[in-house]
Amino acid sequence: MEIDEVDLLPPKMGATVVDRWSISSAPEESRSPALSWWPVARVGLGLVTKRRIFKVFVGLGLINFLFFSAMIYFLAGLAAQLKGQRFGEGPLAFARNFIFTGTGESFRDFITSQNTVVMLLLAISGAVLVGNDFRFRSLTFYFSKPLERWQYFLGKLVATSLLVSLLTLLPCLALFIEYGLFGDTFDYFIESRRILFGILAYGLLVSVGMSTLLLGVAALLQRTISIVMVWGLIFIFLPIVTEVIHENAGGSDYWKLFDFWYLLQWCSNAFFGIESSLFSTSPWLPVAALAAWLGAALWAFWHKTRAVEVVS
Amino acid sequence: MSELIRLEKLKRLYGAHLAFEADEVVLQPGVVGLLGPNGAGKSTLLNMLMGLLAPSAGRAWMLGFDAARESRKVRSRVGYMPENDSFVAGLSVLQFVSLAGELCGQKAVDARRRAHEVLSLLGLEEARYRLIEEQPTGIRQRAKLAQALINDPDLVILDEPTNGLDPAGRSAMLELISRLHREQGKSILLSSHLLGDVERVCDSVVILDRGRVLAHGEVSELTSSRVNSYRIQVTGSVETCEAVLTDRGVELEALPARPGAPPRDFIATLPGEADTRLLFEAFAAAGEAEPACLLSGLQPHEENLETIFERVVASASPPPPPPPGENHG
Repeated sequence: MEIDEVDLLPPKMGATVVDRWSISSAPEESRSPALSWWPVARVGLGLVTKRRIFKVFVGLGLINFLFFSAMIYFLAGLAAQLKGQRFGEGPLAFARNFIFTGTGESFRDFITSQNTVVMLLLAISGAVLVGNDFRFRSLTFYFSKPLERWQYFLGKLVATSLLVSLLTLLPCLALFIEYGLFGDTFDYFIESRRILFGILAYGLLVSVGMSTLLLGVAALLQRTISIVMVWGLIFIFLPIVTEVIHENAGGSDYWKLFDFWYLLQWCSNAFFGIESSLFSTSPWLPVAALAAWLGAALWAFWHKTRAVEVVS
Repeated sequence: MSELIRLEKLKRLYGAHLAFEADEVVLQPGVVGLLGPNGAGKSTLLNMLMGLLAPSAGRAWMLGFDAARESRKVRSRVGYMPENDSFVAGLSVLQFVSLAGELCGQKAVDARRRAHEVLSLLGLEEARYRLIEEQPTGIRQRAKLAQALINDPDLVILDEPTNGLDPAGRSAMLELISRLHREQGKSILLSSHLLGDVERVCDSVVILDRGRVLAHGEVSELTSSRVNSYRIQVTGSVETCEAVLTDRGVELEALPARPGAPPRDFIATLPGEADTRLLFEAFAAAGEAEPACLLSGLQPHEENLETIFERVVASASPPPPPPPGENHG
């Protein structure tokens, strides 16, 4: 007796026959073409955040944040305990010399301390975010889709900037709010508008500036080890060399313009309204130097992506 | 869709080097093969069609859109499968194909649904959650094809789609391509070095060499120009043989011979309904004039894509450089 396939199906059950060659039509374009950078940013963020090393660095940044946050809490507690006491102001003023004071300097110092973690995070994320796109020819894939070069750049910039903001701008804003909430009134928020501006401006500068620099370096070098070496050159070796020349070898102040950290610090002082000893009479110099750094990085990135064509 | 591709006086120069030139080429929807050796200009043409390379002169249209001015529209209606692996490392096959859909403007949820469908269409059900860079060549090739199909394109450009595949995989890929045209109605532009692949799936071809379009048209048209052809070998005076054959309306084409030696092998295309008796009569007459003039070999000449390609490229080749010291006054 021969068994047919039909015999194995229960009668009149409406068995579904999967016709794999009948697929529905593709959904219409529902996103504005101007937002094509978003999938690039989202995928970039996803690739970095699922790495274990990312969690390590976020953990380090979190520890620093919690330390500052605890100091604010401690200071608020101390102020509450010593309030109205005869000798209260003395110890409180003493404590304020050492712990978080809510001034522009303290917020600037917090972001600066986070910058070290950010630098390390970016050094190892550069290859994942950008370098691999060149090494594994992902650019061919991206540019064969309706995606412009500037949208690709914007997507990568947003992904990297969000990573940096996660460790600098956002926790700093949280500290600002925390400090203001622990006060007796909300006057702190009104009186400290300049500080809020400084946090936003410095946070954005660090996020966008370091991200742009990373995109340029990663596009040029592509591999993690090369990126780490150049990153070390920019953020460790150059500051040491410029400092030595500036301090001991009788070099001029202009050497400081090669120090990316210094340029960020100088800008942060300007944002927070903190007086700076160097370049006070010619403030355009550090701004121009920073623009030159970022311009070089942008040029490197643009040059490398222009060299990519869909067909190799 | 009236025309698939239209090129008008399109030219691309790199400095003084001519990378591509075409006077007027019109290709109709269907499966089109793009043939040419390395450096023929295939990549330059594709880059200009995708709007990623500006032409030095002339214009190109793909699917009715100006390739240079409406590049985004072109790329949103075209699917491109690159020759080399080009993946986003760290993504699964499904994520990679979904990303392609999102880049084409689909919502994330729509792109994912569509990716599932296309992966099922291409038989990639089991591989979809695995990392793409860890997959064997056959699956990677299909994944590349899937990302090209995610936006339901009118035209799919396939660059060496059978690269790195074993014979079974190659056959399956070609069958897949044929079905895409037959059952999904896609037009396909297939760029390949493998003439057999092109012949198996393509309706028409564009033959390129050294940046120039040497021939284009339907394969059947190109081969029909050589109906009633024979490959012949002759001995004796070639000039006498040529004279008696051309007197009888036979078209002769010399096949490449050793350098310095006269050609002995020819493709003879007979006029109208004439048959091989015409050849025998001609050689009988030639033998009377010069007894050494003989027809020493005769076999039917079957024109296929390979012979068309060889013939077109050979006829366009520049003459060999003269020996050093020769006077060309």
